[in-house]
Amino acid sequence: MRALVFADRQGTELAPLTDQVPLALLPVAGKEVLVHGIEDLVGAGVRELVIVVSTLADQIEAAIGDGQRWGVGIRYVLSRGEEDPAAVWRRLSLSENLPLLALRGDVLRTPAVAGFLDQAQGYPGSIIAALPGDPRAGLILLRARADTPLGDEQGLSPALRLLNWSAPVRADLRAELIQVPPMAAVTFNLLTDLPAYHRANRDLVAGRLPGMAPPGRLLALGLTVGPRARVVPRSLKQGVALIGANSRVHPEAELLGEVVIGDEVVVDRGATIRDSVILSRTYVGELIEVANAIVASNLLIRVDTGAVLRISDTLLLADLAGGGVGGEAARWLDRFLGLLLLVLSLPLWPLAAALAYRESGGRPLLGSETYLGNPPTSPSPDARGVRPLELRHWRTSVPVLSKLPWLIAVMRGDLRLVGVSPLTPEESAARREDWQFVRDKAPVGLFGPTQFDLPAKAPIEERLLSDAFYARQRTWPSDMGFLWRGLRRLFSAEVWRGQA
Amino acid sequence: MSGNPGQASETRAMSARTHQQEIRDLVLARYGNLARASLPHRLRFHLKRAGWVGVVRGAYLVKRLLDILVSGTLLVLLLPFFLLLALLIRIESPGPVLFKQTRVGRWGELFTIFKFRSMYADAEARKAELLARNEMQGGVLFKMRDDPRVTRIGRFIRKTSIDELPQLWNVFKGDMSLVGPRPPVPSEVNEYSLADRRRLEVIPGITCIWQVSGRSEIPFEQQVELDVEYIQSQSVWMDIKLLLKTIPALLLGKGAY
Repeated sequence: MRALVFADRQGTELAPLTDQVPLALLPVAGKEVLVHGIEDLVGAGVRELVIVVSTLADQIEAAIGDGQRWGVGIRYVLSRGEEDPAAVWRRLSLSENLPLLALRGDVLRTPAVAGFLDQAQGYPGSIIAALPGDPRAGLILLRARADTPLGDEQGLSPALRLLNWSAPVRADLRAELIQVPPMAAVTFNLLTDLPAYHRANRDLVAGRLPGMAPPGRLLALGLTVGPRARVVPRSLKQGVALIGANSRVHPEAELLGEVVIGDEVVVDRGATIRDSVILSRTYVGELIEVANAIVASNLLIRVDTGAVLRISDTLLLADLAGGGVGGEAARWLDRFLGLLLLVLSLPLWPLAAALAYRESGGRPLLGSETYLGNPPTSPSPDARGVRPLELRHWRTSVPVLSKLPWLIAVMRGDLRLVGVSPLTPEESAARREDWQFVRDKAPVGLFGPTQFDLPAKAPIEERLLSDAFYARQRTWPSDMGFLWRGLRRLFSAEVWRGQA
Repeated sequence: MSGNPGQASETRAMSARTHQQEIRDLVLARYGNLARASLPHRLRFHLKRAGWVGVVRGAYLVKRLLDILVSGTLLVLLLPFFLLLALLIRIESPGPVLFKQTRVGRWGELFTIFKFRSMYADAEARKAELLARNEMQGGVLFKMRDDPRVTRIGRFIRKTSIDELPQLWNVFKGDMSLVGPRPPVPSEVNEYSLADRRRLEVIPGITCIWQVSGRSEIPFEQQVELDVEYIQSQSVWMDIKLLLKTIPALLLGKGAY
């Protein structure tokens, strides 16, 4: 049995939660929405999944993988997002792969696949559907008939359109489309807005979704905890709570009502959390009271009013991820090495100044150019935060001497030692294609393959391509290699030869 | 004056007010003069953050470090013994010294496990005819007590679990850990239910709770429960305790055949 799983919702209705994370990967009580769906399918014996993805597809592929984790095969199909499922179907040409179960993977549905497949066996016809209140939470089984290939004569396209997210089918039209076996009680949550997402979390942890239980072990009545979570039962004053893996709740913190706390969360002394969802890697500060809200790193979303607060005080709410220790250490190491190189290069500065005096022809000895630097490290690096970076250079034709002042930027931490070549704001703004933005995944640096291997006057496309390759393939050892090459190059004749 | 109910309620109200006052003072102290007062708080946050990073990454790092140190030391110490054993295995029956098998690691990832060969080289081929005589209850695992395919030296190294020692190399490489659920073979995993798959959520290991508590004699469902119990409650301290408990279990030779 195969399944065609639509996980291509853009997720704008759940913004700002879906700004960085695709909707299908939002956790509902400890497990991603899509994983809830996959486990339902795997539990029913489905062994091959085709997942239709769109926004932030690479995140979904990285998180879900090729299905080895569940012992199934998973492959991905890219789409524009919230497309007509019938159109996706035509493009995929899956007609050879029947029987096939089509469903949405980005809505929360209680386990229903096994029961549905059982029931469907008792019905004739090549298209069988089980449609709860909203058809978009439904299951559609497509079966092969020996005599006729499955096509629009049997109502294939209208049936698939039941799953269309952006244009839901009207309830009164549904009955004419296909046979519907009586559906056993299926509870679902379409996650149409933030309150719905909040409710889904609370429903699951409170046991209101039949067949679903929060993952973890029961520490006390109503208190489920994940591996290595640290919480004392008396923190739960009343109600139910789920504490994710590696999270710590201070013994004097209070949990009330229905609380879902994600992985790697710290709840500090005296904090009170009531009927709220705390997403992973969040710090909830001392004496903070969170009620009826969704908290995601430094975002506080009030469910009743819909107000979204972005809190900048790291003592109240904060993102605990922030680049990680490794990244932090690497940045400081770069700055230290930059300082070291700067000090070592000081004897060259008078030489550079003298050459610049001879060659500049009356202009100031130091020229300056504006580039785009590295984005600030916290809370979440995105293109909007990139500050312009003023880089000075000596007006001399000897490349290595003219770039000496760049070491100051390395020391200040604005430029990394190894990275992609810096772009000017105009060059950056002129980029249009997706691949031209790949370079943004790597930091801007002094050394790198583009800086080494391409001539200084190489066209911008070539530089972007080389940088994109580097950004995709960079590893620790390769960066070390570039650093070593950079240091060796300082002694090569090439970089000392003046350019005509 | 004492015993006046009106005054008692007033005291209560006052103490409630002082509590409110206390909180207000705390908050004011923190935010009233942010530039000055926030430094210790900021420091506290960074300490907390460091502690958190320690909890999340440290547990993994310490486990890995323990793995590398213990397996590396043992591999070096046992090398002469390994060479002798290799010679003995080679003398008794033709074929390679090490037995390679594909096992399933974390989240279904496949890797090659190493053991000393304890059976004749054609053992896998003869498995089919013996399958009918499977003695393991619960179906998923295949094990039997008097397997005719086992060599003489093989019987000894199996009894003492010495055949498992080359897995220290897997531990050193990072495919496995010292402590963790035993890695199953792919054919077993194919028959796993979704609930059984929970034991694949961590890096597999050489020893775990059920090896220590009676080993192969436990039915499969209970093994899964014990593995999940380990996954849910794992800590470095527990790993060390399990490692220490493995030694008597090994010496007594319970359950291995």
